[in-house]
Amino acid sequence: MKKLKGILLILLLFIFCFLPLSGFSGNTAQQIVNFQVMEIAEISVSGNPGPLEIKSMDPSYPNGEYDTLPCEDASTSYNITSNYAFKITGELLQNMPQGSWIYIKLDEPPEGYSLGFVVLNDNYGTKLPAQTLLTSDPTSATNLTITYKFAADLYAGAVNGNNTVKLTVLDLI
Amino acid sequence: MKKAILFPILFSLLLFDYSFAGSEAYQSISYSIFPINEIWVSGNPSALTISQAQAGEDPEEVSDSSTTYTVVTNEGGYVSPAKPKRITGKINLAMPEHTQLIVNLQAPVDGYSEGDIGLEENSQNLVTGILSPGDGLTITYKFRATAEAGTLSGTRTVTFTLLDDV
Repeated sequence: MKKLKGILLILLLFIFCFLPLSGFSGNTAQQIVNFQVMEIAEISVSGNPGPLEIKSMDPSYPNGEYDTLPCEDASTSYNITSNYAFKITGELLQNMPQGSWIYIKLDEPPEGYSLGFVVLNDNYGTKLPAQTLLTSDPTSATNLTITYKFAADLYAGAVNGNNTVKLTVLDLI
Repeated sequence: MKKAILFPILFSLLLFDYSFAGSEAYQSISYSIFPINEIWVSGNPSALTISQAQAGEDPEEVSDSSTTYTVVTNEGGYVSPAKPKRITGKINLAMPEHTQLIVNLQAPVDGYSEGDIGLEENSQNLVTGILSPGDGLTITYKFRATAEAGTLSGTRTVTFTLLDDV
Protein backbone atom coordinates (compact mmCIF):
# COMPACT_ATOMS: atom_id res chain seq x y z
CA MET A 1 0.00 0.00 0.00
CA LYS A 2 2.85 2.27 0.87
CA LYS A 3 4.46 1.43 -2.45
CA LEU A 4 1.24 2.34 -4.32
CA LYS A 5 1.08 5.73 -2.60
CA GLY A 6 4.66 6.38 -3.65
CA ILE A 7 3.85 5.62 -7.26
CA LEU A 8 0.77 7.90 -7.19
CA LEU A 9 2.85 10.72 -5.70
CA ILE A 10 5.44 10.43 -8.42
CA LEU A 11 2.69 10.39 -11.07
CA LEU A 12 1.03 13.52 -9.62
CA LEU A 13 4.35 15.34 -9.50
CA PHE A 14 4.97 14.45 -13.14
CA ILE A 15 1.54 15.76 -14.19
CA PHE A 16 1.85 19.05 -12.32
CA CYS A 17 5.44 19.69 -13.33
CA PHE A 18 5.53 18.74 -17.00
CA LEU A 19 2.04 18.85 -18.44
CA PRO A 20 1.76 22.72 -18.64
CA LEU A 21 4.74 22.79 -20.97
CA SER A 22 2.76 21.07 -23.66
CA GLY A 23 1.09 24.47 -24.33
CA PHE A 24 -2.51 23.65 -24.98
CA SER A 25 -3.89 23.62 -21.56
CA GLY A 26 -4.78 26.43 -19.26
CA ASN A 27 -5.49 30.13 -19.94
CA THR A 28 -2.29 30.97 -21.87
CA ALA A 29 -0.77 29.52 -24.95
CA GLN A 30 2.52 30.12 -26.69
CA GLN A 31 3.71 29.47 -30.22
CA ILE A 32 6.98 30.06 -31.89
CA VAL A 33 6.44 31.62 -35.34
CA ASN A 34 9.21 31.81 -37.90
CA PHE A 35 8.96 34.35 -40.69
CA GLN A 36 11.08 35.35 -43.62
CA VAL A 37 10.89 37.62 -46.64
CA MET A 38 12.82 36.19 -49.52
CA GLU A 39 14.56 38.33 -52.11
CA ILE A 40 11.97 39.41 -54.64
CA ALA A 41 12.66 40.91 -58.04
CA GLU A 42 9.91 41.12 -60.60
CA ILE A 43 10.10 42.91 -63.91
CA SER A 44 7.58 42.91 -66.72
CA VAL A 45 7.24 44.81 -69.98
CA SER A 46 4.15 46.12 -71.72
CA GLY A 47 4.90 44.54 -75.10
CA ASN A 48 7.19 45.01 -78.05
CA PRO A 49 8.34 48.36 -79.47
CA GLY A 50 7.38 49.53 -82.93
CA PRO A 51 9.64 48.98 -85.94
CA LEU A 52 12.89 50.90 -85.77
CA GLU A 53 13.38 52.35 -89.26
CA ILE A 54 16.20 54.47 -90.63
CA LYS A 55 15.16 56.28 -93.79
CA SER A 56 17.41 59.26 -94.34
CA MET A 57 20.85 60.74 -93.94
CA ASP A 58 21.88 62.81 -90.97
CA PRO A 59 21.56 66.43 -92.19
CA SER A 60 24.94 67.21 -90.66
CA TYR A 61 26.70 64.42 -92.59
CA PRO A 62 29.68 63.91 -92.64
CA ASN A 63 30.10 65.76 -89.36
CA GLY A 64 27.31 64.04 -87.42
CA GLU A 65 27.77 61.28 -84.88
CA TYR A 66 26.35 58.79 -87.38
CA ASP A 67 25.96 58.92 -91.14
CA THR A 68 22.23 58.32 -91.04
CA LEU A 69 19.53 59.89 -88.93
CA PRO A 70 18.86 57.65 -85.88
CA CYS A 71 15.30 56.67 -85.04
CA GLU A 72 13.71 56.17 -81.62
CA ASP A 73 10.78 54.33 -80.08
CA ALA A 74 9.35 55.07 -76.64
CA SER A 75 6.06 53.23 -76.97
CA THR A 76 6.67 50.55 -74.34
CA SER A 77 7.08 50.56 -70.59
CA TYR A 78 8.11 48.33 -67.73
CA ASN A 79 6.98 47.58 -64.21
CA ILE A 80 9.47 46.77 -61.47
CA THR A 81 9.30 45.53 -57.90
CA SER A 82 12.31 44.58 -55.87
CA ASN A 83 12.90 44.38 -52.16
CA TYR A 84 16.65 44.73 -52.43
CA ALA A 85 19.07 47.10 -54.10
CA PHE A 86 19.35 46.00 -57.69
CA LYS A 87 20.50 46.80 -61.18
CA ILE A 88 18.87 46.08 -64.51
CA THR A 89 20.97 44.87 -67.39
CA GLY A 90 20.01 44.84 -71.05
CA GLU A 91 21.25 42.27 -73.50
CA LEU A 92 20.62 41.43 -77.14
CA LEU A 93 20.19 37.76 -77.88
CA GLN A 94 21.70 38.07 -81.36
CA ASN A 95 24.40 40.21 -82.96
CA MET A 96 23.50 43.26 -85.06
CA PRO A 97 24.78 44.12 -88.55
CA GLN A 98 28.19 45.75 -88.43
CA GLY A 99 27.87 49.52 -88.45
CA SER A 100 24.53 49.62 -86.65
CA TRP A 101 23.79 50.13 -82.99
CA ILE A 102 20.86 49.45 -80.69
CA TYR A 103 20.58 51.69 -77.63
CA ILE A 104 18.19 51.37 -74.70
CA LYS A 105 17.22 53.82 -71.99
CA LEU A 106 15.10 52.94 -68.97
CA ASP A 107 13.29 55.67 -67.08
CA GLU A 108 14.25 55.45 -63.45
CA PRO A 109 11.96 54.41 -60.58
CA PRO A 110 12.11 56.14 -57.18
CA GLU A 111 15.48 55.37 -55.59
CA GLY A 112 16.83 54.53 -59.02
CA TYR A 113 19.47 56.00 -61.28
CA SER A 114 19.19 55.55 -65.03
CA LEU A 115 22.39 55.38 -67.03
CA GLY A 116 20.64 57.03 -70.00
CA PHE A 117 21.08 55.58 -73.46
CA VAL A 118 23.41 52.61 -73.30
CA VAL A 119 24.55 50.72 -76.37
CA LEU A 120 23.86 46.99 -76.57
CA ASN A 121 26.40 46.05 -79.24
CA ASP A 122 29.90 47.08 -80.28
CA ASN A 123 31.13 48.58 -83.56
CA TYR A 124 31.33 45.14 -85.13
CA GLY A 125 27.73 44.38 -84.23
CA THR A 126 28.66 41.93 -81.49
CA LYS A 127 26.14 41.91 -78.66
CA LEU A 128 27.35 43.60 -75.52
CA PRO A 129 25.41 43.23 -72.22
CA ALA A 130 25.17 46.55 -70.44
CA GLN A 131 23.91 47.98 -67.18
CA THR A 132 20.98 50.28 -67.77
CA LEU A 133 19.79 51.26 -64.31
CA LEU A 134 20.95 51.09 -60.69
CA THR A 135 19.04 51.45 -57.43
CA SER A 136 20.30 51.97 -53.91
CA ASP A 137 17.13 50.84 -52.13
CA PRO A 138 14.16 48.56 -52.62
CA THR A 139 11.57 50.10 -54.88
CA SER A 140 8.42 49.50 -56.83
CA ALA A 141 7.07 51.40 -59.83
CA THR A 142 4.86 50.99 -62.87
CA ASN A 143 4.68 52.35 -66.41
CA LEU A 144 8.29 53.45 -66.63
CA THR A 145 9.20 54.29 -70.21
CA ILE A 146 11.59 52.15 -72.22
CA THR A 147 13.22 54.08 -75.09
CA TYR A 148 15.06 52.40 -77.94
CA LYS A 149 17.36 54.16 -80.37
CA PHE A 150 18.62 52.64 -83.61
CA ALA A 151 21.61 54.23 -85.31
CA ALA A 152 23.70 53.25 -88.31
CA ASP A 153 26.41 54.44 -90.63
CA LEU A 154 26.48 53.90 -94.37
CA TYR A 155 28.55 50.75 -94.02
CA ALA A 156 25.67 48.91 -92.35
CA GLY A 157 24.03 48.79 -95.74
CA ALA A 158 20.33 48.52 -96.43
CA VAL A 159 19.19 45.74 -94.13
CA ASN A 160 16.31 44.59 -92.01
CA GLY A 161 16.03 42.06 -89.24
CA ASN A 162 14.76 41.14 -85.81
CA ASN A 163 16.41 40.77 -82.45
CA THR A 164 15.37 40.22 -78.85
CA VAL A 165 16.32 42.30 -75.85
CA LYS A 166 16.50 40.62 -72.45
CA LEU A 167 16.13 42.81 -69.37
CA THR A 168 17.45 41.17 -66.22
CA VAL A 169 17.18 42.27 -62.60
CA LEU A 170 20.33 41.46 -60.66
CA ASP A 171 21.64 42.09 -57.19
CA LEU A 172 23.48 45.39 -57.18
CA ILE A 173 26.60 43.83 -55.70
CA MET B 1 -12.75 17.86 -72.99
CA LYS B 2 -9.29 18.40 -74.40
CA LYS B 3 -10.48 21.56 -76.17
CA ALA B 4 -11.87 22.88 -72.93
CA ILE B 5 -8.43 22.56 -71.34
CA LEU B 6 -6.43 23.80 -74.32
CA PHE B 7 -8.46 26.94 -75.00
CA PRO B 8 -7.64 28.84 -71.80
CA ILE B 9 -3.98 27.88 -72.12
CA LEU B 10 -3.76 29.13 -75.71
CA PHE B 11 -5.77 32.24 -74.86
CA SER B 12 -3.46 33.13 -72.01
CA LEU B 13 -0.42 32.64 -74.26
CA LEU B 14 -1.90 35.03 -76.82
CA LEU B 15 -2.91 37.51 -74.18
CA PHE B 16 0.53 37.80 -72.63
CA ASP B 17 2.45 37.56 -75.88
CA TYR B 18 6.17 37.79 -75.20
CA SER B 19 6.11 39.75 -71.98
CA PHE B 20 5.97 38.15 -68.59
CA ALA B 21 6.80 38.98 -65.02
CA GLY B 22 9.94 37.69 -63.37
CA SER B 23 13.51 38.71 -62.87
CA GLU B 24 13.83 38.68 -66.65
CA ALA B 25 11.68 40.25 -69.32
CA TYR B 26 12.00 40.06 -73.09
CA GLN B 27 11.14 42.44 -75.91
CA SER B 28 11.28 41.64 -79.58
CA ILE B 29 12.57 44.45 -81.77
CA SER B 30 12.48 44.76 -85.55
CA TYR B 31 14.80 47.11 -87.40
CA SER B 32 15.23 48.33 -90.96
CA ILE B 33 17.66 50.55 -92.77
CA PHE B 34 16.15 51.69 -96.03
CA PRO B 35 18.30 52.15 -99.15
CA ILE B 36 19.74 55.66 -98.97
CA ASN B 37 21.19 57.21 -102.13
CA GLU B 38 21.66 60.95 -102.16
CA ILE B 39 23.69 63.59 -103.97
CA TRP B 40 24.00 67.28 -103.23
CA VAL B 41 26.20 70.18 -104.28
CA SER B 42 27.87 72.98 -102.34
CA GLY B 43 26.37 75.78 -104.41
CA ASN B 44 26.63 77.40 -107.84
CA PRO B 45 29.87 78.03 -109.69
CA SER B 46 31.09 81.47 -110.56
CA ALA B 47 30.19 82.94 -113.95
CA LEU B 48 32.22 81.43 -116.77
CA THR B 49 33.31 84.40 -118.83
CA ILE B 50 35.48 84.15 -121.90
CA SER B 51 37.34 87.35 -122.50
CA GLN B 52 40.72 86.53 -124.00
CA ALA B 53 42.12 85.06 -127.13
CA GLN B 54 45.48 84.70 -128.87
CA ALA B 55 45.51 86.35 -132.24
CA GLY B 56 44.63 83.82 -134.92
CA GLU B 57 43.16 81.32 -132.45
CA ASP B 58 39.80 80.66 -130.85
CA PRO B 59 39.05 82.41 -127.55
CA GLU B 60 40.64 80.84 -124.54
CA GLU B 61 38.66 78.30 -122.55
CA VAL B 62 37.74 79.24 -119.00
CA SER B 63 37.13 76.91 -116.07
CA ASP B 64 35.74 76.87 -112.56
CA SER B 65 36.47 74.37 -109.77
CA SER B 66 34.97 76.30 -106.89
CA THR B 67 32.12 73.90 -106.14
CA THR B 68 31.94 70.39 -104.78
CA TYR B 69 29.45 67.59 -104.47
CA THR B 70 28.72 64.90 -101.93
CA VAL B 71 27.44 61.48 -102.84
CA VAL B 72 26.22 58.89 -100.34
CA THR B 73 25.02 55.36 -100.74
CA ASN B 74 24.49 52.56 -98.26
CA GLU B 75 24.26 49.95 -100.97
CA GLY B 76 27.99 49.62 -101.49
CA GLY B 77 28.06 45.97 -100.57
CA TYR B 78 29.63 46.14 -97.14
CA VAL B 79 27.02 43.78 -95.77
CA SER B 80 24.61 42.86 -98.54
CA PRO B 81 25.35 42.36 -102.26
CA ALA B 82 26.75 45.51 -103.86
CA LYS B 83 24.54 47.74 -106.00
CA PRO B 84 26.94 50.16 -107.72
CA LYS B 85 25.67 53.63 -108.55
CA ARG B 86 26.38 56.14 -111.31
CA ILE B 87 25.96 59.88 -111.65
CA THR B 88 24.51 61.33 -114.79
CA GLY B 89 24.41 64.97 -115.83
CA LYS B 90 22.33 67.04 -118.23
CA ILE B 91 21.43 70.67 -118.97
CA ASN B 92 17.94 72.08 -119.27
CA LEU B 93 18.53 73.63 -122.71
CA ALA B 94 21.00 72.98 -125.48
CA MET B 95 24.04 75.24 -125.58
CA PRO B 96 24.30 77.94 -128.25
CA GLU B 97 26.02 76.89 -131.45
CA HIS B 98 29.81 76.95 -131.36
CA THR B 99 29.90 76.79 -127.58
CA GLN B 100 30.41 73.90 -125.24
CA LEU B 101 29.82 73.48 -121.52
CA ILE B 102 31.97 70.70 -120.13
CA VAL B 103 31.84 69.14 -116.69
CA ASN B 104 34.25 66.83 -114.93
CA LEU B 105 33.35 65.19 -111.62
CA GLN B 106 36.01 63.88 -109.27
CA ALA B 107 35.09 60.27 -108.38
CA PRO B 108 34.79 58.92 -104.84
CA VAL B 109 37.34 56.32 -103.75
CA ASP B 110 35.29 53.43 -105.13
CA GLY B 111 34.11 54.98 -108.38
CA TYR B 112 35.30 55.91 -111.87
CA SER B 113 35.17 59.39 -113.40
CA GLU B 114 34.32 59.56 -117.09
CA GLY B 115 36.47 62.70 -117.35
CA ASP B 116 35.48 65.75 -119.39
CA ILE B 117 31.93 65.41 -120.70
CA GLY B 118 30.19 67.96 -122.90
CA LEU B 119 26.79 68.56 -121.38
CA GLU B 120 23.65 68.03 -123.45
CA GLU B 121 19.93 67.92 -122.88
CA ASN B 122 20.17 64.16 -122.70
CA SER B 123 21.67 62.58 -119.59
CA GLN B 124 25.24 61.35 -119.84
CA ASN B 125 27.29 59.30 -117.45
CA LEU B 126 29.76 61.37 -115.43
CA VAL B 127 30.83 58.91 -112.72
CA THR B 128 30.22 55.17 -112.72
CA GLY B 129 30.81 52.19 -110.44
CA ILE B 130 30.20 54.11 -107.23
CA LEU B 131 30.40 51.85 -104.18
CA SER B 132 31.46 54.25 -101.46
CA PRO B 133 30.35 57.64 -100.24
CA GLY B 134 32.39 60.72 -101.01
CA ASP B 135 32.34 64.21 -99.55
CA GLY B 136 33.76 67.45 -100.95
CA LEU B 137 34.44 66.01 -104.39
CA THR B 138 35.42 68.64 -106.95
CA ILE B 139 33.15 69.70 -109.81
CA THR B 140 35.07 71.31 -112.64
CA TYR B 141 33.30 73.27 -115.38
CA LYS B 142 34.91 74.37 -118.60
CA PHE B 143 33.35 76.73 -121.09
CA ARG B 144 34.57 76.77 -124.67
CA ALA B 145 33.53 78.93 -127.57
CA THR B 146 34.86 79.41 -131.05
CA ALA B 147 35.07 82.81 -132.73
CA GLU B 148 31.96 81.89 -134.73
CA ALA B 149 29.89 81.91 -131.51
CA GLY B 150 30.08 85.69 -131.46
CA THR B 151 29.12 87.46 -128.26
CA LEU B 152 26.39 85.99 -126.12
CA SER B 153 25.27 85.28 -122.59
CA GLY B 154 23.07 82.62 -121.09
CA THR B 155 22.24 80.46 -118.12
CA ARG B 156 21.88 76.73 -117.90
CA THR B 157 20.74 74.50 -115.09
CA VAL B 158 22.80 71.35 -114.67
CA THR B 159 21.05 68.36 -113.13
CA PHE B 160 23.07 65.59 -111.53
CA THR B 161 21.24 62.33 -110.87
CA LEU B 162 22.34 59.32 -108.83
CA LEU B 163 21.12 56.05 -110.33
CA ASP B 164 21.75 52.32 -110.19
CA ASP B 165 24.73 51.51 -112.41
CA VAL B 166 23.32 48.64 -114.41
